Amino acid sequence: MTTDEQLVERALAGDSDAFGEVVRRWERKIYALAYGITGSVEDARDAAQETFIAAFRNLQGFRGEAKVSSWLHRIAVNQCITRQRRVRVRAETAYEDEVESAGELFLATSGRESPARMSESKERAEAVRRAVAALPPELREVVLMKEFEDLTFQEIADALRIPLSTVKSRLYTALKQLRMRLERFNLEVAPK
Amino acid sequence: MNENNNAPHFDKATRMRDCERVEEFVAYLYGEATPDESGVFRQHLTNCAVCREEIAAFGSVRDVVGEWRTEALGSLPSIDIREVLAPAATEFRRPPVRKRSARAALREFFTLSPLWLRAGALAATLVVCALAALTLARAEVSWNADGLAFRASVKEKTVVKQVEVPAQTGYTKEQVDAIVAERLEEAQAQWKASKPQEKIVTVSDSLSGKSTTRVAVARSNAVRPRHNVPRNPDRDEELADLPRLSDLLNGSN
Repeated sequence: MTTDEQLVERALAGDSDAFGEVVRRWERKIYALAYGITGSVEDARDAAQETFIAAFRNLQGFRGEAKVSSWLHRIAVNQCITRQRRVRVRAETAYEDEVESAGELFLATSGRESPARMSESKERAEAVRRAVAALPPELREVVLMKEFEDLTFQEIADALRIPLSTVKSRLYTALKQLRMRLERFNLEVAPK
Repeated sequence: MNENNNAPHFDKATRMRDCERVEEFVAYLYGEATPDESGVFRQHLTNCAVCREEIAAFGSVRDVVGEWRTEALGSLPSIDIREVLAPAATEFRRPPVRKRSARAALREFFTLSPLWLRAGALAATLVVCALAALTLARAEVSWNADGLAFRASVKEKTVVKQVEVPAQTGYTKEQVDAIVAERLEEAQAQWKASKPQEKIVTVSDSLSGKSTTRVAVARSNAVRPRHNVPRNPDRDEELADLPRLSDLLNGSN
């Protein structure tokens, strides 16, 4: 099977289908990661599209020092952070305010989507989404890369350009904070 | 969802961990520790209550995050980036060409060029290199009627800067010129008024014994009589009357 790195080489050599194959392989995962970070299907789709456009435009900048997957994830995380920052500055929607105070507002929320009307699994998923969204960005991206994308510690370190030890310590802190927030949401995360 | 307010470490997310083995803990939790590291950490777990409790609690956190992941990925609408990226389709058909390095360009040139062009380029390169080397060695190459001349280790020419000493007269150059010209004109006018025509001086060459006639023009005090020439008293008086240039200059100061 052709590797991602070989596909990028072929794209650089003028093979118009090669980059399309890279997109096909990674679009779903990048889309999911963007959804995990932004919490919005629309923002996730836009961020995923912008990720691949930016990747294609910067193909020449890919030097093969890291894996293509790490490179794509780094671009995706940056796209999501930029997008969130833009949204936060505009402060256009109440949804973003809700994300800012995710934990505290969870039980009190009775707006557009009442927890009472959601199934239990959706309820739990929403609680986790809010807990993850409430994490500081540097912890959130690490935990999503690990739990959503199943990247190795080294791949995360390459994607974020941080030391391996920092990946581990951030992951530990993220899990600790998630545990605390989820327990506050009354989710069962205590030792079984 | 259950009430679980009695779980340990509930409100201690930010406190220092009692056990310092965080990296080993995380590597073990995610199955990225080597077999040896895993064995050592399992041994540690038998003695460390903090790590034991957190391994279990974090496992539960990972379970609920996994549920969310499944839920989220399942509910996400399908996406076809290649289709959505239609505006950039032209770019996809014309992927960027990586810039060639100088070495690659040279290699291509020498591969594709005919032999004569390669030889010419090589010769030109050698000439340029030789000239550069000569320049660095401070050699001097000249071409003249004697042919090609070559001199190595030419010393650098030292250019001494000329320092212009300002005049101490108190007059500018223009003022001095004007005064000199004025005085000269006065002197000449005065002299011409008394002896307007030029004098013809006859000199006999006593050494040769031959009688020769030379014509000289008496100009100011520049012409002086020779010692062996008989003096003309009238002319000496006339010359004595003329003002000297140094007198004129001193007088103007």
